[in-house]
Order: sequence, then C-alpha cells, then structure tokens
Amino acid sequence: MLTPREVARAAAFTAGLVAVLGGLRGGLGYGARHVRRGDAGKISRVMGHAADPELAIFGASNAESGISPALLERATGRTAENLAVDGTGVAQYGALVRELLRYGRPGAHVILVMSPFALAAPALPTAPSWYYPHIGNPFVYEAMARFDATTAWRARHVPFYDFVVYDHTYYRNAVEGLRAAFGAPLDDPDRGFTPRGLRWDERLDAAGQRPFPCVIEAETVAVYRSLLAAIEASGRKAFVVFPPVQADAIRLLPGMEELVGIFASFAPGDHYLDYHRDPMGTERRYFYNHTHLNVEGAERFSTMLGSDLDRVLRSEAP
Amino acid sequence: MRALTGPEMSFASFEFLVFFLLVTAAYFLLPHRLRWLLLLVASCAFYMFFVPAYILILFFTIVVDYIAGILIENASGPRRRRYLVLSLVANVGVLSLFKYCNFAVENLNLLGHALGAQASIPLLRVVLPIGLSFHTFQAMSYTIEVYRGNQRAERHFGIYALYVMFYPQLVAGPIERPQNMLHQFHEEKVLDTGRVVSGLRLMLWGFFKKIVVADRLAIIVGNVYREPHKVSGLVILLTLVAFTFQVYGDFSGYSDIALGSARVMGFELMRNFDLPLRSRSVTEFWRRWHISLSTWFNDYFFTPLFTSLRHWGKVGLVIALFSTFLLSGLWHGAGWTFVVYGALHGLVLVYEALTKKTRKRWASWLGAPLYGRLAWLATFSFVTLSLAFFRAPNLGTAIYMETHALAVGARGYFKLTDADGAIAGLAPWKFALSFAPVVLLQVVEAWDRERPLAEALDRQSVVVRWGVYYALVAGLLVFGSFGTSQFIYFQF
Repeated sequence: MLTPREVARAAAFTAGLVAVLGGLRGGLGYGARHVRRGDAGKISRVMGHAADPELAIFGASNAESGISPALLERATGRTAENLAVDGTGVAQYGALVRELLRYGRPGAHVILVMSPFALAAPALPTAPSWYYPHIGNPFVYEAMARFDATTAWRARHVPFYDFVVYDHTYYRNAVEGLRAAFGAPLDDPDRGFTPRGLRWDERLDAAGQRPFPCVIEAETVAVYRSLLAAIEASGRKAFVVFPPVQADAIRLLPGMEELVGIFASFAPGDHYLDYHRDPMGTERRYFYNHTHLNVEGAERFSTMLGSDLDRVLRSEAP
Repeated sequence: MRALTGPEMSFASFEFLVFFLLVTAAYFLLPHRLRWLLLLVASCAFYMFFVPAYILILFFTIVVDYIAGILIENASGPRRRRYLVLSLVANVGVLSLFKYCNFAVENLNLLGHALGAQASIPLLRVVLPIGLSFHTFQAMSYTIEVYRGNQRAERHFGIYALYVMFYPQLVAGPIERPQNMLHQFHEEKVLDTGRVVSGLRLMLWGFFKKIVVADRLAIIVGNVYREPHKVSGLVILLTLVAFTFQVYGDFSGYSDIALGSARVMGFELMRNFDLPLRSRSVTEFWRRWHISLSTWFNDYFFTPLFTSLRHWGKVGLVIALFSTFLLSGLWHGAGWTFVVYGALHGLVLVYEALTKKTRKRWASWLGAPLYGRLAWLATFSFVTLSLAFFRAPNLGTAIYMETHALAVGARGYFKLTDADGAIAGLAPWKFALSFAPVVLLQVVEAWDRERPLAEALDRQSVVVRWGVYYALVAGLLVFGSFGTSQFIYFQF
C-alpha cells in the first residue's frame, strides 16, 4: 500500500493539476463568455444580460444577413438588435430567447425570423463552442441536451469535460473576449447585422437543380409553439417574419405552402409578416442564393419590414 | 458485414478513464486471490460494451482452447497433433465465419454472375466482433506453445480466460504469448509508485499520439478519401503522408495506453512499436511495426513453412515470405485492398531478401550516411504509398490516390487550395496545424532514442516533472480532437 508520503505527493500532484486546468479553464471560459462580437458575441451578450433591445431579432443566417437593426430603429423609433445566429435552429437559439425573456425589459418585442428550413430538426448542434461556455445556464443546458444529453450533462457536471466539445473558435473567442474585457470594448456598429456584399451565385442557375422538399418536423413545430407560449406568458409579443425568397425557391422547395400555413399559425393576425412571395423575389440582384438576401436586398427588406412593424406597433399603442 | 466502430468504450473516452480508475483502485484493494476474478469480470464488461452477445463467441473459443491445452499436454503421439488441429480449426473457423465468409461469398457471387449464374448466395447478416483477429491469434499461440512444449497447460480456467480477455490488450493487442502473460496473472502484484507513474506517463503519451496526432490528421484523411477528385495531386500526396502518421499515432498510441494501463497494475506487455517510420528497409519496418503480429507470423507461419520448404532454396524462401505477407494482409481485413497491401509488402520483402548482397555493395559505394538516408526515404515512400490500399474503401480509390499523388507533372498538381481557399476542406492554417503535432512527435521520439526521456525526466526536479505532465494534459485538452474516431485497429 501507499506510504503517507506517497499519498501526500499524489494529493499535491492532483491539486496542482486541478489548479492548472482550473486556471486555464477559468481564464479561457471568462474570455469566451465575454466576447461581444460575431455570433458567439450575440450569445454571450444575451447570457451576460448585455443585450436588451425593444426589438430583438432571432433566427438563423437569413435573419442575420437580411435584417438591419438600424433600419428598423429608423422606421419604428425603437431600439433593435439582430441576435440571429448563423446555422442555428430554434432548438438552439430558443435558449437565447428564453434567457432574454427572463431579464429583458417588459413590453419588448421578439421577432422570430423563419426560413424554408426553419422547421427541420438538425441531428447535430451548430457551433457547440459558442454555446457550451454558457452550459451553466439552464436554457442553454436544455438546448444542448436536446442534441446530446450525455455530453451536455458531463460538460456541466464533470470538471474540464467541456474541453472535449470545443474547437478552435472557442479559443479565438476566448482571446477576443479577454482582450475586450481587459482592453477597449470591441463594439459592433451593425448590432449583429452581418450584411453580405455578394452577388447572385450564377452556379445556382445551372439546369438540373433538383427540388429539395421543405422539411417539417413535428418536434421543431412543438419547440416553436412552446417558445411562443413562453413569450406570451412573459407579457411580451412576438412577430413571426418570413423574409423574401428568390422566386425559383418556390419551385425548388416544394411544400412551401404547408410551411407557410404553420408559420401563420404561430402568430395569427398582423403579427405574422409574410414576404416570401414579395415581388423583390423576382429580382436576383437582391439575393446571393435562393434564401439569402445580399446587402442591397437586406436594405430594401429591412426598410419594408420596419415600415410594417411600425404600422402594427402604432396600431397597438395605448 | 461491417466492423463495429461505435464509440462505446474506446481507450480515448471518458468511460474508459472512469473504468480504468475504478478497476485499478479495486485491483489493489482486493486480496491477491480475488484479483483474477476482478480482472476477468472487468474484461468481460469492457468487451460487452461493444456487442454483449459476442462474449459467447469468446467464451466458446476460450473453452475449446482451455480443454485443448490440457488434452494436448496429457496426450502423446499423433493425438497431440489431432487436439492441436481441432483447436486451430475452431479458432480459424470462428475467424472465417465472422470475418472472411462474406468476402468469399461476395467473390463467389461475382464469379457466378460473370459465368452467367442468376442466383446469388445470401450474405451472412453479422457484425464483425471487435478485436476478433487479435484474441483469436492470442488464443492460437497458447495451444501451439503447449503443443511445442514451451508452455504448461493452464489448469486455472479463470486465469486462462483472463489470458485471452485481459482488457488492456483484448481488442487490439499486443498479441501476447502465454510464456509472457500467464505467469504474471499468478504473481502477486504490489502497488509500486514508480511503476504506476511510468504506466500513467506511457498512457498520457499514448493519448497524445491518438487524440492530438492521429485524430487531427484523421480529419484531413477522411475529407480527402471521401472526395479525392476534389483535391490536387500534391494534396493527395500530403494526405497519404498524413495517413501514415495517423495510423502510426493511432495504433502505437493505442499500444502505449494498453502497455501503460497494464503496467499501472503491475503487468508488462510486449512492446509493439519501435520507431518503425525510421526504418531503412521494409524488412526492418516489419521488425519495428506491430511487432507482436510480425513475430506471431514469423514464429507460427513463416518459420515452419520456410523450414518445410528449405530444400527448395531461394524458391522456398520466396514462397514462404510472400505467402506470409499475403496472409498478413488478409489478417487486417477481408477485402482486396488488404490482399494487395499484403502482396505489395510481400513482393518488396522478397526483393530485399534476394538483393541483400547487392544493397550492401551500394551502401559501401555510396557511403553509409547517404545510403542510409536514401534507404529511409525509399522505405518511408513505399510504406506511405502502400498504406493507400490499407485505407481506401476499394481498389479504385487506392489506385486513384496512388496515380494522382505521383503525377507530379500533371496540370494543377501543385495547387494547394480549392475554390473556397481550403486545403482538404480545412482552412490552410488548420491544415498546417494538423501536421504540427507530427513534428513534435518526431522530435520527441528522436530525442528519446538518443537519451531515454523517461529516465531524463526522472532525474529532473519535481517542478519540471510535474510541469511537463501538466503541460501534456493541458495540451491534450486544448489541442486534442475529441470524438472523431475509434481506433483504426479495433476493426480487425
């Protein structure tokens, strides 16, 4: 058996290892949770309660590149922030919405932006390195556990296990977050809007583009309904917005009308704002692919959306 | 038939770490008379993490070989040989049924269709038991050694079962010999901190090789083998080199973890790798690569065959060498790519065996240093190119990889990045970073060869020693690629 001296050495070694790894994790985690720019920055702003707009935009890449908060502000006179996260479905970004509802200002509005793929149920989470630094948050935990309960549980409860889910973006964010925390704050003048100065990709015109049916997963529909119920229960209101899609997408994405029916059921009345058949869809200069607006399209759409939001908000004003 | 490559209990998993800590702690807490039972139960549990029902296959071969060993020892004359043959038939039969049956059926069907047959023989719907080739070969070495009189038959059924099933080397070797292992299970092991530290250190290095070196390269290799037509010849060449280091990091890393985890409990397994990528001939490569398999084939196949053919002179040598490596190729997997892999190595070994004197003359003509470097380059190149057959899903892909990697004059050969600015699907800096741990691995191994690092480390102060360990653990966590792949050799 071990001598007392050997036990003491083993304990000292283990304590040292825990201290080294704890310091590493603490430092990196602090940075990753304090990054303020990019998609990870949006998550950490919400989790750090640094984002509290009157109009909070949530969704995926088509929302991120398609809606300018500045133009919404100009049209409505209300503060806006684009908190959409590239590549994520509602199962993930729903955690951000729920956290915002917990601390955000009463009377604010949540804008949920749909896409032809909004009701799919991805098997894997997008960019876990952005979300796992916040795994202590119950909503993030629930969102990540939906994809992989074991990993989420271990990342939350087993010391240092979260390292196994991180990729290089975590370390990059950690460094940027530390710089922001200890140096000059890095502002995002576009407030989460990521305009894409891209032209229409002509390869998409090639003959033989095969239809890709819209996917409707009951599980994702239920997540939306639950999220909308939470928004309502918090005393806030939601807008459900379906941005313009390039006209060919209607043909290439069969099942769109069924999708639209479900979107409309999420927010009845004038809180469902549907632009998917807007005439701007026939002009390719506004798009860089079938479902994403470029900077020119985003400008036009945001102006249009701002005006519609303003009309509805004014009609509801006491 | 497919190999089971689920993530259930890889050595590089959280589950294994917990398992290892619990089993090791329990091992030293239990009295010696119960330790074999603990290890056997733990080994069964370890194996059953994969496909629980397949424990019955293991149990079958264990019972057959256990009884065969005793019968062989007690018998005399031709009956000894008969019992040995029965044991070998049982083992090879299980191996053939699960590993080679469908390969044979597929080829018979192809041949039948070529000859105009309409019907097909149905394929067996079975999953390849994990590590089947390893524990079957280990079991066979037992009955052969008992037959040869080099090993007493083991009377303790539990200890014999443990010899086949000892979890550190159950699924991917080293393929042990009864002379090395059986007596160790009878000996009482004491908790020796020096050995524990040495074992843990070896495990840590094994994890580094697997998680930081092999699994990072696996991303490049996987991307290129999936769509080789999307990358240039130079990227294919780099991928072939990447796979050489991937498979080395993967398998030697596994072996280090196996040796280390056994050493912590006081067991010494045989060394499986000895810097094989520094070999200056393919013959030397096989003396340094997967040593336990090479020596198995040497002891139980090549030597008896060559001895029986010795009156044929060089022809006997050629037949024995070539058939040994053909079989070695097939051992790795039931597919034509593995047959070609084995055949290529067989041909080069035959060449080397027949040109010993000529190559000696070249060495004296060129001078030892230059000849050594050229010989290393030729060996490394051959090993790298041959491994395309080991990795590729089919012969077509392997040949595509070979021909495009070597077509240096082809248009666009040197174009590294694709239209998106990526190399093999990765940003250029990520691609380059994947090779950085390979450089570190080579530097450390070169240093270790000159001056054993473990001993050098032991002479350092506690601050330096612990600092190195802490840095390695932190490096593992930060630079490791987790959850990407199972160990390559688990599928064999």
